[in-house]
Amino acid sequence: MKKDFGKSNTTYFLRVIAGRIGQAVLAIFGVSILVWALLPLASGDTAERVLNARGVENPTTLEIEAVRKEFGLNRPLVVQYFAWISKAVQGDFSVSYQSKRPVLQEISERLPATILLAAIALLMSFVLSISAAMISATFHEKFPDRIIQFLTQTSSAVPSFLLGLLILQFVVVSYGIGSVVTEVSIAGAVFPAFCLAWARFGTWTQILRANLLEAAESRYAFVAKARGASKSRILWRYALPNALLPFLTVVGVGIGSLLGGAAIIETVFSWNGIGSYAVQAVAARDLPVVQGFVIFATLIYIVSNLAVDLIALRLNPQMRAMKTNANFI
Amino acid sequence: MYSEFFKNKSALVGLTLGTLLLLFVVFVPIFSTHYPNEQKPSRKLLAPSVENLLGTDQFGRDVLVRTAVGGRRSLGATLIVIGLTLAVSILIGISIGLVGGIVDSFFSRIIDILLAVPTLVLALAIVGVLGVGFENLLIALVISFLAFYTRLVRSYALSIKQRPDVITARLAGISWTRIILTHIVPDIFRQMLIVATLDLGGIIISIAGLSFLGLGSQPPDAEWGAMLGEARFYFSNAPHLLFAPAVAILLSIVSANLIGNALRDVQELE
Repeated sequence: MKKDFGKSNTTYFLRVIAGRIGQAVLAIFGVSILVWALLPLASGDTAERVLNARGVENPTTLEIEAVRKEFGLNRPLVVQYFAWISKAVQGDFSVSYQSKRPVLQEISERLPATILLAAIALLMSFVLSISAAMISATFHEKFPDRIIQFLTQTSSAVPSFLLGLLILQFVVVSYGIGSVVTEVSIAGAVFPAFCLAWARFGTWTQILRANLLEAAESRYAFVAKARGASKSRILWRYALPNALLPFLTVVGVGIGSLLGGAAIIETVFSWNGIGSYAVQAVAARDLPVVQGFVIFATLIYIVSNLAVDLIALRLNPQMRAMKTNANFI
Repeated sequence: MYSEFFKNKSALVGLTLGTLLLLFVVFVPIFSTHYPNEQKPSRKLLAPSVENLLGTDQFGRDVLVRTAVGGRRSLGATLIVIGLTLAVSILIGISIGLVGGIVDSFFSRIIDILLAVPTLVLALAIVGVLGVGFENLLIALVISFLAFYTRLVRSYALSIKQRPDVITARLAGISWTRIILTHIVPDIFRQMLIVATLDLGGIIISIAGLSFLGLGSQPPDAEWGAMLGEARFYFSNAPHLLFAPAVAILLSIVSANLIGNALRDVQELE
C-alpha cells in the first residue's frame, strides 16, 4: 500500500512536469511569433537598420541590396519567420547585426555571469527577507518590527537602479570599496546583487511577515503553546515551514522581475551579462540578439517557476495527499 | 467608500504629497526665468545658488526647471500608460469574459503567452523591435502590463455575470448593453482602479529605469530617469545632479504607494 502511494506520486509529478514543458514550448513559440508580428510596425527598412547597427550611417543602394541578400529580407515575413524558427529549434539563432557573430554564442558567453548574479541576488533576497520577517514576527508591533516595516516601505519607493547609483557614488567612488566597472566574480557581484535583492526585499518580507503572523495565530500554534513550546520554537518549528509554502509562489514571480531588473542593474554596474548585452542590442535595434534574449529569459523564467512549483508540491503534504486521493478516484 | 478614504491617514499624506508634486511640475516652468533646454556653456555644473536653486547640469541648463518639466513627462507618461492599460483591458476583458467560447479561449491563450514573459523583458523586446523612443516605450509598457490586467478583468467579469443583481436584471428583461454599462463596468472599474494605483509606483520605476538606460526619453528632452542617465558620469563633481531627479522619483512613488495602500485598506474594510 505504501509503495503504491509513492508510485502514484511519481507519476503525478511526471505528468505535471510533462504538462508544464508542453506549456513552456507553446509559450516560447508564441513569444517568437509575437516578436515577429511586431516587425511590420517598426519604422524604417530592416536592411538599413542592419547597416546602421554596423555603424554605416548613410548606406548606398548597393550595400542595402547586399544586406537584403545576406539575410534574405526580400522574402515575405512569414517565410522569413519559418526560416528563422526552423533554424532556432536547432540552436541557430542567426547572427548579431552588430558583431556578425552567432547570437547563441554571444548569449552563452554571457549567460554564466547573469546566472551567477541572479543566484547571489536570489540567495540574498531569501536571507534578508526571511530574517527580517522572523524578526518582525518575533517582535510583533514592537520597535524592531516598526523599523523593518519602515525598511520594506523604503524598498518599494527606492528603485534598484537609483540604489545602484547611490552605492556607486557614495560607497565605490567615495570610499574606494569595489570598482565602477565590475568584474564577473562573487566579490564583484555583491553590490549589484544587493540592488536586485533590495527590489524584492520589501514585498517578500511583507508577505512572509503576514504569513508568519497568520500561522502564529493558528490552532496548531495554539496547541504547541499549550504544550509548553517557547515562542521562538513556535515560530521556527511550526510557523516558518507553513509560512514558506505560499511564499514560494511569490518567489517564482520574483524571478521574472529579477531577470528584467538584471538588465538595468547590469548596465549600472557594467556587469557583462545577457542583461546589459540585451540593453545594448535594444538601443542598436539588433533584432536577432533581442529575439535571442527574450527567448532565453522566458526559458529561464519558465524553468525556474517549474522548479519552484515542484518544490512547493514536494513540500506540501496536504497537496500530496489530495492528489493521491484524486488518483484513486 | 470615499468618505472612509478621505479619513484615512496615509491617503491624506499621499494626496498632499501628490498634489504638491503636481503643483511643482505644473507651475515651476511657468514662473521660472530659465528654459529647460537652454544651454549656457559658461555656467556648467554649478552648485545650487540663488540664480539656479538646484544648480546647473553638464550643459549649463537649470536643474530645477528641468526637474519640473521632466516631471510633466514622467508623471504624464505614467498616467497615460495606466489609463490606456485600464481602458483596453476593461474593454477586452469584459468582452471575452461575457462572450466566452472560442473568442475567450483564443484571447486567453494569447494572455498565457504574454504572461510567460517577464514584464520588463517583454517591454525591452518591444522597444527593441519598434526602436528607441519615448512613445515606443509607452506602447511597450502598455502591452507588457495588458495581459495581467485583462486576465483580472476577465475573471471579475465572469464572477459578476453570476451575481444576483445581474441575473435579476437579466430576468427583468434589461438588455446586456445596459447591464454592462450600469452594473459591470462601474464595479470592475472600481476594483481595477485599486490595482492600478498600487501599480503606479512600478510604472514610474519602469519608465524612469528604461529612460535611464537611454531606451525611452531622448535628449535634449528632460525626464527624471533620462536626467539621471545623462548626468551619471558627472555625479562625483556635481552630486546635486543626482539628488533632484532621485528625490522627485522617490516622492512620487511614495505618494502613489500611500494612496494605493489606503484605497486597498478602505476596500478591505468594506
